[in-house]
Amino acid sequence: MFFNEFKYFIISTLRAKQLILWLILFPMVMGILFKLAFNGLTEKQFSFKAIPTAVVEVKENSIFREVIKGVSEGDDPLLKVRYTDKEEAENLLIKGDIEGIIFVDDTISLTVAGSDMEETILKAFTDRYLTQEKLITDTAKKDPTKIPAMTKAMSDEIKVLDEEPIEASSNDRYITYFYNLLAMVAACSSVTGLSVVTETEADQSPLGARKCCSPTPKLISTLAVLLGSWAVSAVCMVISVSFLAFVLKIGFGSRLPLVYAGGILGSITGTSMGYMIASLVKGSYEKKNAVAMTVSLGGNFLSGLMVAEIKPVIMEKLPLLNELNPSAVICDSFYYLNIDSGYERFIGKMLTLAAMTAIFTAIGFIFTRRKKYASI
Amino acid sequence: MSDTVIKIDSLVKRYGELIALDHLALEIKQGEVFGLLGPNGSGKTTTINCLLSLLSYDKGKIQIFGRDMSPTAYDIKRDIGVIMQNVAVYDELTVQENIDYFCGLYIADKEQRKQYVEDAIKFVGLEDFRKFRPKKLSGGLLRRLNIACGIAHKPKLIILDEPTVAVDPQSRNKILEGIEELNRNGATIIYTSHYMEEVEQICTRIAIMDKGKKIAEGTKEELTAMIKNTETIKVTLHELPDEVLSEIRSLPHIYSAEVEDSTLTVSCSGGKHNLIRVLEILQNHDVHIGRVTTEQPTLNDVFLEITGKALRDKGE
Repeated sequence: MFFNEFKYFIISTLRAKQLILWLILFPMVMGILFKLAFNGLTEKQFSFKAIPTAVVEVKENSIFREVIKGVSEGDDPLLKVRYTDKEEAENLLIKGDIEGIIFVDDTISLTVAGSDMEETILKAFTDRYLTQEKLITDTAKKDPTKIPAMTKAMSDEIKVLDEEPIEASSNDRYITYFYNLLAMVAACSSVTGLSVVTETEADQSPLGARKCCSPTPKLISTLAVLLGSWAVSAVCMVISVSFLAFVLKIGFGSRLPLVYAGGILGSITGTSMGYMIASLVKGSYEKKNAVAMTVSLGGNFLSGLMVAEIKPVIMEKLPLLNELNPSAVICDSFYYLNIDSGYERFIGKMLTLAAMTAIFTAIGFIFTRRKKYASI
Repeated sequence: MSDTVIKIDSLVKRYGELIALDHLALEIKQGEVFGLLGPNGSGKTTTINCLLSLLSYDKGKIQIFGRDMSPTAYDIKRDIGVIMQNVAVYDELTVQENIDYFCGLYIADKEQRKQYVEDAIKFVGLEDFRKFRPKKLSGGLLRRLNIACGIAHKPKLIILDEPTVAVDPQSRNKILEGIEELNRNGATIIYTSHYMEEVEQICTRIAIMDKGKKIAEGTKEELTAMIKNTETIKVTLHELPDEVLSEIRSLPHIYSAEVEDSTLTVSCSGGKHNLIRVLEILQNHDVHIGRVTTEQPTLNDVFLEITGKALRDKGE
């Protein structure tokens, strides 16, 4: 009886147009729009450009000159170098035409104007050279033809510093848009949770009344529909994440399994929230649906999923609301997944979502546990 | 073993100040087609909902198959088939899937269920529509699907709450024939309706309800015998002098004679040859008469005589 209820709930729900629209088509369409809108941004942000640099040779260093030549030539150079005197180099730095000045004297030193990524790369380059100077010098003496290969390797290693955020712990704004989209979809799963009440309560629908006449215990029906709605929401989330990751090629990187996990738990929390709302709000399905959508979209708004500036205000003025808003918790979990190199804060938010799911479900059970009704 | 399938004692259901069921008592025997007849709002559906333990009630006792009925009386529910007034099916499932789903609430065995579903589809004549979704079905076919979902598990007791509302005559006849067949196959039937013709046609015993009370109970013959009217004569005519009307009223066994909209309506209570006597008087006074009909008393007459109002509003 449980599997009969579970099976047909899933079939009927997956055939419902509303579900397909909100939980599958909506994220797909929005994902495509985001991709089209922000694609230029990501290329600009992540395609590496040679860093304009001035080299001032106070003392001649033929090996370093070879290294500089190696990293400033080719299809994808690390540096765009011009040799000048000190005065001209400082003028260029002040005007912003270059990112730094490398002084070649008894040792190699660097002067930069700021602390952006370009300056960090220049610093990494000079540091790397200084740590490998002896090795490079020895290699140049033994086999000068190996210098280009060594400089190429050095250049590639340093570029990885810039590319690293894409793979692991990035504060990548581009991907954040897609994380936010997934958080919205998870919150909107509340629509699916309404069915747990409307399809099992005799005073909610003819279908609910009809089921209550059957020998299938109400607890079994409710559990089957609840698990079914969780499963449907989870499937929709898996479809959405897969579409973003494999069709739109959004680079979730090595954390893709965690994106699935976070999305699935978020959608289960959203569904449970819908169950709770439907159990608390008296009246028609349309009324419950309107309340669920208002709560979901309101939560999305307050968590900055619609207007990014809202979230800092809420965090400052009403931090507790941010902790209790499921949309904000889902959003934060993705955010931490995006920016943190570790998993502590992500796991913390996952545990919060699990606790919310338990509380929402318990409230739903409590308010729908009756078996007889005063009116139908 | 008692042959009483349902026993309701002094059932009271209140909605605030409104008394929806007022000390209702019913006893339904095995093999009966029991009709609950009454106008809208008389308490028929409330009675059914209390019977099925969907609604709480203020007082009374309900027993089905000799056991107390409750929401957790799953053994009792297993043998009950329910066809609700509102069609209760999944819009996203096909005809066959819907029947299988509802049958699956009662029957766990897949093979047995497969056969039962097939039987139900054939019984309601939906063989050509098994892959259709409910929204593609006409009103009559949808009602048939609703019935199939209710009877697929072959219950011993079948409760049909106004199953023919908004159904075309062809589907209505098919449904009524089906109910008679279910009864012949051994099921006890409870049938609620405000269509007296249906109740007269299929019910072996009838309870008439009004304002939450049972106002009469018995077979059709027993009910019509309860009232004074045994025959109603109607004659269309152009004009009827008052002295002729008085003469008709003075006939034995005539207790009422009225003219309205060029129609003379004469109500008789017992006696024989009432029609001949009325026509003789009209002929003797050269009254030109048109159409002449006589009607046996109906359940509507019973309702009218007991409550002073018609069972159904005109045009309903």
